[in-house]
Amino acid sequence: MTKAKLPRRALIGVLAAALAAIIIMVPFVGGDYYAHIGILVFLNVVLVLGYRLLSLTGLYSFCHITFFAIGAYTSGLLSSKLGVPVGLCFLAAGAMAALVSVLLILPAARVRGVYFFLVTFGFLGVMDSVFLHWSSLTGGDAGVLVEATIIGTGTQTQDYFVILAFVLIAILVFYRIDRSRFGRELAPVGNAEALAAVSGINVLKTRVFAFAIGAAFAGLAGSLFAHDAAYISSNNFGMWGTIYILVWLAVGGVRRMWGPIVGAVAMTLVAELLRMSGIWQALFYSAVLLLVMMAMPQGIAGLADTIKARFAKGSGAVAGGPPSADGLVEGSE
Amino acid sequence: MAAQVIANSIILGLTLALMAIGLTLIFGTLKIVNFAHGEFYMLGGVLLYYVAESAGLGYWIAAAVSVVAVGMFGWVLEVLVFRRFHGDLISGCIAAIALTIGIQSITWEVWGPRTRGVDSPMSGEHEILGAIFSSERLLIAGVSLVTILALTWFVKYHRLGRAMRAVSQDSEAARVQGIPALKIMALAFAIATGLAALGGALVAPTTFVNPAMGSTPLTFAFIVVIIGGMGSIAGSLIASMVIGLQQNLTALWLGSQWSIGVAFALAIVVLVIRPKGLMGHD
Repeated sequence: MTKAKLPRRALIGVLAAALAAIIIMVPFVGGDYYAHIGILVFLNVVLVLGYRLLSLTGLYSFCHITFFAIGAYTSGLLSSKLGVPVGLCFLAAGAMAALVSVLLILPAARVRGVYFFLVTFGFLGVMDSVFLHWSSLTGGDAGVLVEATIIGTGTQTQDYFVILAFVLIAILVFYRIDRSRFGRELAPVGNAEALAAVSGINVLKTRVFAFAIGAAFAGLAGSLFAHDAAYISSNNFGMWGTIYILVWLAVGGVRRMWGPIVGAVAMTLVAELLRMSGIWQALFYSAVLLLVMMAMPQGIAGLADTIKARFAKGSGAVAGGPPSADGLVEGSE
Repeated sequence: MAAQVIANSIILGLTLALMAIGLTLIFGTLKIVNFAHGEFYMLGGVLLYYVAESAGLGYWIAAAVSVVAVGMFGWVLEVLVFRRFHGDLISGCIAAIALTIGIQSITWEVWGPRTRGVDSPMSGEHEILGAIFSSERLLIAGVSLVTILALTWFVKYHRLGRAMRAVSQDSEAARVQGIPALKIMALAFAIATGLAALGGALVAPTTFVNPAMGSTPLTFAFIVVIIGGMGSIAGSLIASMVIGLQQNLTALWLGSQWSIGVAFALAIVVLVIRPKGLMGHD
C-alpha cells in the first residue's frame, strides 16, 4: 500500500510544482493579455467557491454577481469620490456585500426552492436597475473611472500577483470552512433540513452565515476587479454573471470543493481562448453545457467519484453514486 | 386620463400574459424554469418576418406558420432535452440557458447584425370611452384575450387539458391512472412555446425584430409568474394586469427607466409576504 502511494504522491508533487511554475510564469511569458485572463480565472474561482456554500444548504441564489457588483461599486466609489485608501476600500467592499446579503436573506430565507431562486433574481433585477439608472452615483451605462492602483504602481503584473495571493487565501479559507464544524453542517441542512434542525443545527443561522461569507468574498473580489480594470459600468454585472457562476458549479459538481474550481477554470479558459471565433464560441459553450448536463448531472467531481467507486468495488456495476438529494438536484418540493 | 391609463394597462397586461402563462404552464407540468422562453418569443417574430416580408405571404399566414413551427420546435426540444430535467431546478435552468445561447447565436448568424420591422396588418385609431387606441394595439389585445380564454377553457374542460392538470398535480398518480404523462408534458411545452411565438408575432409590428428581442419579455414574464405564483394560470393573468398597471403608473410618476426596477421590487415584496405568490402551489 505505502509502496503504491509513494510514486503517486511524487507524481502529485511534480504536477503541483509544474502548475505553480506555469501560474507564476503567465504574466512574464504571456504579457498583459494573458495576465488579464489569469485575473479573470482567479476572480471566477473565488466567486464560485463563495456561491457553493449556500448551494450546499439547498438554496440556490441568483444574485451572486450582485454582491460582486456591490463590492466593485463600494470600493470604486469610496476611492474615486472620497479618496479613501484602496486597502480600506477593499475591506469596506467585503463588509458592505456581507451586510446587504444578511439584510436580503433574513426575509428571503422564508421561501424555498425555486421561490428563493426567483426572489434573488428579483433582487438582481432591482440592483441592476439601480446601477444603470442612478447614474449620478454609478455612472450608469457609461461607467465610472476608479483608482487604478491596488499595490505598487498598479501594473497588470502587480495586479496579477495581488489577485493570485487573494485567491490562494480564499481557497485556504474555504478549505478550512469545509473541514470545520460549520462546513460539515452545510450539506445536512441541504439534504434533510428537518433532520438537521432536530439534531441541533440552527438552519437559518447556518444559511445566513453561508450566504454572508460567500457574499463577502464576492464583494472583495469585486473590489479587486474594479481597481484592476480601473473602470466599472453597469454592463459588467448583468444576470449573465450569475448564469456563468451556475454553469461552473454545474460543470464541476457541488459536493467536492475542487469541482467548482475545475469548472470555473476550464469554462473561463475555454470561453476566453475561443473568443476570436464568434458564433463558434457560443455554439461550443452551448453544446458543452448541454452535453455536461445530460451526460454527467453530478458534474466533473461527481463523475470522478463514480469512476473511483467503480474501481474500488472492482466490478462493472456503478456503485450507487450519491443519492440525488446530495448533488445538484433540487426537486420542486 | 385615468381611462387611458387603465386601457393601456390592460392591453400591456394581455401581451405580458401570453408569455407568462406559457412559462407558468411549463413550470406547473414539467417543473422546469424555462430560461429559454424568450427565445421562442424571438423565433416567433423572426419567422414572422421571413414568411411575411421575405416570402411575401402576408401577416396572417406568417403568424400562423410561426406559431405552429415554433410549437413543433418546442415539442422536439422537450423530447430531446428537457425530458431529462423534469423536477430538477438547477440542471433544467442550465440546460435552458445552454439552449438560449445556442438558439440566439444561430439566429444572429442567419439574421445578421441588424434590426428589421414588420408591417402591421392594420392602421388607424379608435376612441372608446374617452381613451384612444390604435387599431394594431386593439388587435394585439383582442387576439391575446381570445387565446387566453381558449386556453383556459382547454385546461379546464378538454380531455387533454384535464390530463395536463392531473400531471401537474401529481405526475406519478396521473401515470397510474393511465394518462401518458410524458406526452402530456411535451404537449404542454409545445403549447407554451407556441404562445410565446404568438406573443412575438403579435408585438413585432409595434416594435422591431432582432435576435435579442426575447430578453425583455422573458424578464417581465418572470416577474409576472413570481407575483402570480408558479404554476397558476389565473394567477399569471391577474399578475399580468397588475404589472401592466404598474408599468404605466411608474412611467407616469417616476419615468419609464424605473419601470423594470419597481416591477422587480414589487415581486420581492409579494414573495416575502406570500412565499408562493398570489395563487401559486408547489
